[in-house]
Amino acid sequence: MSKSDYLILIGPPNSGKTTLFNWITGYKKQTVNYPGSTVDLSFGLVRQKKAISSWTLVDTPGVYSLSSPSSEGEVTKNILKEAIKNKNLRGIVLVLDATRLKRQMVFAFQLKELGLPVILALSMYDIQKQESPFDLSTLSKQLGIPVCPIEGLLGGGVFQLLDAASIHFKDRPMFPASARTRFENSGFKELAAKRKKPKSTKKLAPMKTGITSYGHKISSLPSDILFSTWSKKKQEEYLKKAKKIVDKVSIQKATDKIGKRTRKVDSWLLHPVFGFVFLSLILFTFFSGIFWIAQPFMHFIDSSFSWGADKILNLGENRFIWNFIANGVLTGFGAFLVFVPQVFILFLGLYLLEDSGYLSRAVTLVDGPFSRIGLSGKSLFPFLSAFACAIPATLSARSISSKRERWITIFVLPFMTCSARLPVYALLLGFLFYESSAWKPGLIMSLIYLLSLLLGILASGILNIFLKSDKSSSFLMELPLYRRPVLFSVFLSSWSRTKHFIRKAGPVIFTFTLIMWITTHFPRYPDLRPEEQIQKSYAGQFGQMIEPVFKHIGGDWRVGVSLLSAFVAREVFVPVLAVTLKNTEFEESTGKAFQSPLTETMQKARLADGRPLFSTASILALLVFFMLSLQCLSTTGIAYKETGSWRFAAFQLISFNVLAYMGAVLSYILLS
Amino acid sequence: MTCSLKDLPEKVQARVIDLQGELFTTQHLMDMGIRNNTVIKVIRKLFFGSNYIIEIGNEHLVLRKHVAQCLKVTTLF
Repeated sequence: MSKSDYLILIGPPNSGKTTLFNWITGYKKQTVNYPGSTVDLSFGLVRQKKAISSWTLVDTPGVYSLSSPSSEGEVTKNILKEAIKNKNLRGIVLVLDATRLKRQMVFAFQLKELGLPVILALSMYDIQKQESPFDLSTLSKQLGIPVCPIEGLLGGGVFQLLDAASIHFKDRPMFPASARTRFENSGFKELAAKRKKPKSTKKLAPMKTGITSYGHKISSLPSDILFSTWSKKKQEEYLKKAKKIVDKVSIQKATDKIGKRTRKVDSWLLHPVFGFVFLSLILFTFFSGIFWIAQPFMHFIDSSFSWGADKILNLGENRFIWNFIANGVLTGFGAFLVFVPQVFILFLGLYLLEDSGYLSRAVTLVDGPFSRIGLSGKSLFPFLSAFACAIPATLSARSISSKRERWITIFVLPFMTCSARLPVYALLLGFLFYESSAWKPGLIMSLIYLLSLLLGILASGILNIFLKSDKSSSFLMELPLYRRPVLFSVFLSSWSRTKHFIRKAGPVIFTFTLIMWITTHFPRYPDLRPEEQIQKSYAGQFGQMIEPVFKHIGGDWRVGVSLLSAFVAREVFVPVLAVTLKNTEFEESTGKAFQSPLTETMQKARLADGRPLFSTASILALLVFFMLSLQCLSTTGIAYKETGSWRFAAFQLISFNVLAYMGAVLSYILLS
Repeated sequence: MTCSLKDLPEKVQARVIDLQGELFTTQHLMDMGIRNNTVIKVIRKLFFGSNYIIEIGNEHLVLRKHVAQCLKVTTLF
């Protein structure tokens, strides 16, 4: 990262940090995996009144205090320590939920006590204002820091917050000299002295040095003491103080209208029976919606690429360059980009569920049954994230405190239908329900999602029997108020994730379409007919070598080559199949390659003996293969990193793929 | 009546008198604003009593049965 000054957003989970981050940066962020981090930190440039400042805004995972023993707490502490060590901590924006200030204000006391430069952003103040407005100037005086109300829904108060930050932090030393005095009086030193381990006292030694012109280098302070656990007494004292301050600054008694509304809705959505009915309905609507909402957009993209390829081929099919652009680049990219609307809708749905407050209810509902099979309710977060991508999902599993529950969650995550599988499923279902109404593949698609979840649950149950029990598992979570999702933020976040998906897959797809086109066109035999030329090409020869393996699932060498390419990235299967089929299937009347949409080309594709290449049995076998296989090697890498065990990662990779191949062969035999 | 939160009947108000258990759990409970003298109520028990939805002030939290066991409470009449 650059050495520009950091403005760090800190606050409890669900307090609105990310929404504020999006308002401030316009979502021009880079996402990085911080070394040793639990979840992602986001970095973006601070934009103030159309001008971009040199400050970098950092969004951190939610924590209730710096004493929090959770792994999210570690990430937040690490970025703070690093910024202070590198002398680029400009300030901290503490984001607290105005509707929960009594409980969350303790965090402000802690940061203040440590002498860290901080201002308070009161999120959801629009909601609090309706209930009981605060006397903000009194609150600011009581806390001794600037307080800025933020309305997340409309972005109100963001400019005022940035103005306050530039005034408050502009000339402020990065770590003031007064901090040492406060540190010594804060009780942390006393607490450290009481510690049994001599390690802490050794670490105190560097404190004598490290004095700079602007204050003390925080790097020289013992970090384990700086962010150490508070005593029960101290925490109780601060909770009392927070209650007193909130009572003092509340202008009128809270009516709790919004809370009552939330509780009324919860009486249905968290009902022991109806709660699960609503959960099933919501998930069904969500997953089937991915298919039917995207349908018109997909059709438009597909037709546009086919039209474009046709026009280019009309310029002269025999010219290598036109052939490459039409049958290589356009066909490959078209086959992939056609599924982007579905990926976008998937992300949109996930963010809407999260932003509305429903996701916490879903987690609450499933924790009971999940805990019986060795999972946590919090496993639902990684599970739903895995419907987008298994990599961030594996990272988000770190929020599960129990190692056993975390390992089981990570192990079964590849069962979830990730967005890379979406193009493959959409293609295969598009073939199965060719010219049928959109609700049919939509229904099957939601069943696939449900089945993948059930497979994960089944696998967890099996692992739960064989793994030793773990007493450290705990589950404690607050239920946020229901609120209208911030559509601006939801759209930007979804679009950003979709763009990331395209950017990640784009170069791989380009490389593979290039390789496939070259290997299906070389070596050249000008005297041979096109289909004979393909048979003798490099790809043809390699495909025929591996064909026996894929014969058992009803495919030929073209399916085999496409399946193998999917081990680089699952979504590559579609463009590689598209390029292979477009270059091996020719219209009988004209002898030219098909320029029809891919599903149509699949309908026309034939095996060497003249039978159709794709049948219901072979398509279902492919579906089974994709549902059970672990082709994404990045997931294996991240599983190794997260668990620190090669045996775990290797066992996961081998068992999934053996199971997938056996499942596909069995399905083909049974169905054909 | 003094008991653990696990044994507190639904809709009965009680006061927390002690936080027991491992540091990780008690710290987490305190982070969430649960301390001695906090007034607490079990709103609903979910999935055969494996999870508890509790009310503190106007806010709702959810916790597992064994976390509820860490909270010693006395009922308010």
